[in-house]
Amino acid sequence: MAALFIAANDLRQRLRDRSIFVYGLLLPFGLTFVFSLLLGPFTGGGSPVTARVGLVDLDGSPVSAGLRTALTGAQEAGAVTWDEVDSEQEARELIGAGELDAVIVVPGGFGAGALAGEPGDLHVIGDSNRRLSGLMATSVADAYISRLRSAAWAAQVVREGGSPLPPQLVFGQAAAADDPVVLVPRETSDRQLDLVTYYAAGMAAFFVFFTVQLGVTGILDEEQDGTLPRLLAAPVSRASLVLGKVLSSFLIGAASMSVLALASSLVMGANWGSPPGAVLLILAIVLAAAGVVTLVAGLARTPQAAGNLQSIVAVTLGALGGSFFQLPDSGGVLGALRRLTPHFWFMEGVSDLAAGAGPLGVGTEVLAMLAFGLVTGAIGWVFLQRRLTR
Amino acid sequence: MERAPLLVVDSLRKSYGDFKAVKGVSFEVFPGETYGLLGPNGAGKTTLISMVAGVLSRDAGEVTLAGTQVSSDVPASRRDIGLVPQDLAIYPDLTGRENLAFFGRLHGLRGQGLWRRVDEVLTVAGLADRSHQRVKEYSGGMKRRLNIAVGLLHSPKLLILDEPTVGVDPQSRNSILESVEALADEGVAVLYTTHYMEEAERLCDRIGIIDEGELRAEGTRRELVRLVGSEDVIEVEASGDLAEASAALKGFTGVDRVDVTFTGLQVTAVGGAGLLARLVQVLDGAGVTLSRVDVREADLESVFLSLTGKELRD
Repeated sequence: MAALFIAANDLRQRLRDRSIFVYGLLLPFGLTFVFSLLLGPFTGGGSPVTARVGLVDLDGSPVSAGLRTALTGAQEAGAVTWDEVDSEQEARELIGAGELDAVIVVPGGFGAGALAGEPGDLHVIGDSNRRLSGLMATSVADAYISRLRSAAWAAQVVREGGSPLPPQLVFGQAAAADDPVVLVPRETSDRQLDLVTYYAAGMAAFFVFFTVQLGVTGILDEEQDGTLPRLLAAPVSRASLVLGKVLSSFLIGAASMSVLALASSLVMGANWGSPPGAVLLILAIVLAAAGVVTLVAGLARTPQAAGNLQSIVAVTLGALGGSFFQLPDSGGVLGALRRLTPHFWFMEGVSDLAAGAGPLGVGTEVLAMLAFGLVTGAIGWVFLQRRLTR
Repeated sequence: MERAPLLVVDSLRKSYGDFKAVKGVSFEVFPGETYGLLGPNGAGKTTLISMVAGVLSRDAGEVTLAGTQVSSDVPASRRDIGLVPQDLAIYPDLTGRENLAFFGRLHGLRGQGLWRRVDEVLTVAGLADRSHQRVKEYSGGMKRRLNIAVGLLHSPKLLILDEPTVGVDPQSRNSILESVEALADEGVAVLYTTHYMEEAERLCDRIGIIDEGELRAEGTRRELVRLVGSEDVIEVEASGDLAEASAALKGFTGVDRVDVTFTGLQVTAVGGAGLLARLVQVLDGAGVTLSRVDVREADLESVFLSLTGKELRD
């Protein structure tokens, strides 16, 4: 019961001095907004790019008809949408009007050249301001040209080897064959977060390691401000005192992260996935943060030292765990270190949730964070108890 | 029937590394008694009372309150102790009422009983009309009074005040001293640390002289003066044959020295007040005309100097 009174007293003070609003909401929400605003335009705001491609077929041969099949395949994969355009002039006008991103032009005589074993070039007209879309159209054209060249070589081999099969038939079958490897474009990847969600989750995880300081390191503030002797003289156990402080850390962290998750979903469209799963992840990382800050409070001598130490720990864990930017999953020492941070497991969990996993799908991540919090918290608890029973 | 002590402190010791902060201190405090611990800054007073209050653990020794051992490990053993630390132990962002309610709950007060006591101590502290104001808006004296009020909230049997008047204006200081006197009258045992001699003389029934972690002596003021044999000084303004009178006075028991001054005589003696009648008689017999006699009794400052070899305010 005493722990509840201590936690409630802490919360009341943090609300009064407004520090909970600054560390818990204003900073993480503001940074998420700024990051997604700054980085969004360069990558399409995190949405998958679909190029609008036109096709001008000045050849009209069976060979150029194969390009339609290739474009339709790309369209089904969601990479492009495409339309027939009558002329190169019209194509340029449509690009200028912004109705198309790029146009593939099949020149006259293209099919005949290909059948003769020398496929020519396809022309791609694009807009310098929409380079990514132009590259996608070029890729489709290049892929088709490569296939024609392969078919031409196959026909050449048949012709020179004295096969009874007519080279044109071999060329046609090779050109029309399915790709042995089918690349399926996905929306950046099922488990990869869009930028808004990435930064909302990353900043929330990063700042919660600062927000929870408002509870546990309050013991050091009480010591400095002179209220600790009175708390220690009260008929309350040292364990209740520490528990009350940890509880206030946990409540402050959980409240600020929950509000941030909700606000980033509603205001910025972040995708936190299954709400029960998100709640589990949030509670787990808050517990991990409370564990770390308990350890810091146990080791530091003054509130200032605790603040400095906690900043170092939070930035190191956040950077390693991918709160600011995604590190390559390279394995080795770096990979092992990343897996020692609660931030890594939190981001993994949010990625799973965004890809459609439910609460059970983030069990490993939650357990990893809980283990982190319990180990660091237990060590910190021992240090704090020792400090309070001098 | 001999009354029993409320607080028994027996052979308390505390060290920080090689530094011995408290070296085997023992004393007792009775119900309704104000016991003063008089010593300079750094004498070990705060360490000592922190162990008595169960805030600090002790290396050796025992503290017993009303027959129950006080310990930093046993929360219930601290239930009847009220501590008023030297530093303001209150939360500036909370109101006076909120501060009292919080500490009251930690001491087990609940519901109407809690709020009744909050109102009572607010009235005693003279803060009833400012109780909804945040403490950071209080004056220094008001904060000090609230600091004491928190210690009284749960009606402790023993109230420990650690230098409660440091940095306080004279008006608030007087108010605090009156409050302490009133508490003792109500039967509360008070353990009061100070390095102000006047406060100890005014408030304390018995005084312990503490220096360098040791209790050098204890007793009433008079007992302490007697213990160290401190001398009173009798100033005599007179005219006549002062040399003859001086010679006569030097033969008195207890008189240490007689000096002839510009205005008369200065007699240094143990128990000077008791010598006064005979002194006047001798001077009269010697034909000396007295215009004024003034006795300056030995004070705690001189007792402290005698016991420790240093000034109280060192």
